[in-house]
Amino acid sequence: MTKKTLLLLTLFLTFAFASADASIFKSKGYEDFAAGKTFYDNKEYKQAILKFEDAFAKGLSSHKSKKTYIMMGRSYEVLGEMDRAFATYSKGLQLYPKDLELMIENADLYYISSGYSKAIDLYNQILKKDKENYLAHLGLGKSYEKLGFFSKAIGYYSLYFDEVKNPNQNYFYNYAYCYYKLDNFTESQEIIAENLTNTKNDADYLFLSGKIYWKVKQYDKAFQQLDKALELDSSRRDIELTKALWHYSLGKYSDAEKIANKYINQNKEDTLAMLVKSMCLIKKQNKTKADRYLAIILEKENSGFIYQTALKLK
Amino acid sequence: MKKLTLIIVAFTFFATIFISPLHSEQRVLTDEQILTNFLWEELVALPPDNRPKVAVVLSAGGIRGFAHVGLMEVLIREDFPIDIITGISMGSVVGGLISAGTSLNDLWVTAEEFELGNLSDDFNIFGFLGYFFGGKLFSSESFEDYLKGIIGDKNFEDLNIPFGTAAMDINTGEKVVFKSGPLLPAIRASMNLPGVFKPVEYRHRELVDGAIVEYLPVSIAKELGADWLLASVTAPDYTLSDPKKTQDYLLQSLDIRGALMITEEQKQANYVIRYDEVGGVGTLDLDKILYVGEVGVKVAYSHIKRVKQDLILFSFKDVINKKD
Repeated sequence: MTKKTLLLLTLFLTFAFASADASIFKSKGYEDFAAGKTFYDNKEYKQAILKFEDAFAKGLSSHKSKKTYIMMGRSYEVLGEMDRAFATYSKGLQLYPKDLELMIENADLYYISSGYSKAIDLYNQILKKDKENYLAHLGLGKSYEKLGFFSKAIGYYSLYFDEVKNPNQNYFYNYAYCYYKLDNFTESQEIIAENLTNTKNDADYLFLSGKIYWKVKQYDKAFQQLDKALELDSSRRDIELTKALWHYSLGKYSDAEKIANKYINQNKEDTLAMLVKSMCLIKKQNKTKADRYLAIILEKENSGFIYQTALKLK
Repeated sequence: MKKLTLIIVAFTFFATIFISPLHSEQRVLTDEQILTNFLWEELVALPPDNRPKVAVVLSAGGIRGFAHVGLMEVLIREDFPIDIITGISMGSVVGGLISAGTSLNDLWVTAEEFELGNLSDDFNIFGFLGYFFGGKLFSSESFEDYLKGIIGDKNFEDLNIPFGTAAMDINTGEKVVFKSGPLLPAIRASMNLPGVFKPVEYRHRELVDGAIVEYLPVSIAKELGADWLLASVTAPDYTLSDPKKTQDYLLQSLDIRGALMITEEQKQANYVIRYDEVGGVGTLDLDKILYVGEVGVKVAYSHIKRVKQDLILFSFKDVINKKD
């Protein structure tokens, strides 16, 4: 290379850098992106979306814009604007069709919108690009569980647990639940026992464990598990009313009624508690009083299973 | 130190981006779930004589009928009480096998390994030449042997769950109901497509596919004593097909007749599950059999809560008045 050529090249590069936009060092729209992210982190999703839109309008650089599509899509999800969330991910995927993070977000959105079959297609597409993508395995596990394919769900959850060093503990519940649905109670109970942390989160595990004991007619153990669950999380009305119904099933009407009364006193419109109470009153031969509760239920509930059950009892 | 700080800042930044604020699952049961779960447990714990007799009625539908396997998988898993099964054509095959004690796992494996050659020994070059140029129908005799290999030679009286099926007498147009005697010829006759297979000579009759006279065997279920009927309907969507060949027209005609019959027959069921997603699957689309079965699981599972509620309400007096 001659000296002259070298000089020309040096001059060209100098000019190129000198005239280049500052975006090489700082992206266009970066300030709006950063502001949007701050809003997003502070859970101010509407403002976050506005800032992200501004960032796009100013021509945000490609790397940042991928993340922006994800945060913007999620913001729409939180605001319940699913159509816009879908549109956001779709636009992102048009620009970055091979981006796995965007693909996962899009598939997850189908999952949370109950589009489980479509979500399965999308997770499988991700696995074609990255066969060990643990988020896709997790998504497949969750989607198959929702569709009632519990064996398949177990298979995908296992892959997820194997692939991730510190898996999200919540999904061990799903894992145990799938075994429960397949009547593999031993495996289910083992998973439950392994994942108890003596925190409020255990309530779900203990409730499931109680249901297993109830199914196999070990009633004392079933009640013990429910009591433990309620000790850890006393706000679980669903667990306590299940307990009331189990008392009813065993003919312990006063115990069942006591729980029902607690919830009726807390909320005069608690139709399930009133239904439990009516059932107990009928068993105690107090049909007149039961009818009064049933009339309230029929007034409060216009249709649905509780209404129809009350109608049958009346 | 600066570098380290930068790394930490960058990590925190991206970590916060990718820890989604969403997607946490709500596990608290709704009131409806609490009540349904409880009453269902009460219902299934009742002795069979203390509750209504439950029938599962499986429609015809060729390969579409494999959706019934998906339904049965869901029902069995949910401890659904099944006192009677009736089925026509493919419904007869699925219902007959399950009544005879075939496990669901074996049914899925059977579907995976099934070949058209299992239906007839005549599915070979000579058979096809005879069919297309000599007007000679295929024999379905070997299908009986195939079924025998799975469940043995059983009578209706030997079955785990009472079962009924039907075929049509091609000479008289009568519906011939089978509830007793040898099982295999009855199943074969029930799925013996006219114009494709030779009529089955049985009980001094010439029998063809029962779907021509009863696509959804609700009446047989009632004859067997059913009080509450769950109909599994694999109706064809003939608007999606485009017949080109003689057999296509024949199958299309059967599908149209079937769809018309279903409209009336399903009114007699207490609950109807339809698999519209597989409506476009052709009667002999064997390569779609597993897909159809999976749709069966998916559709049945999406209905299961409402099916349970319907049966609970139908059996309410028995459920609520159980002996303490």
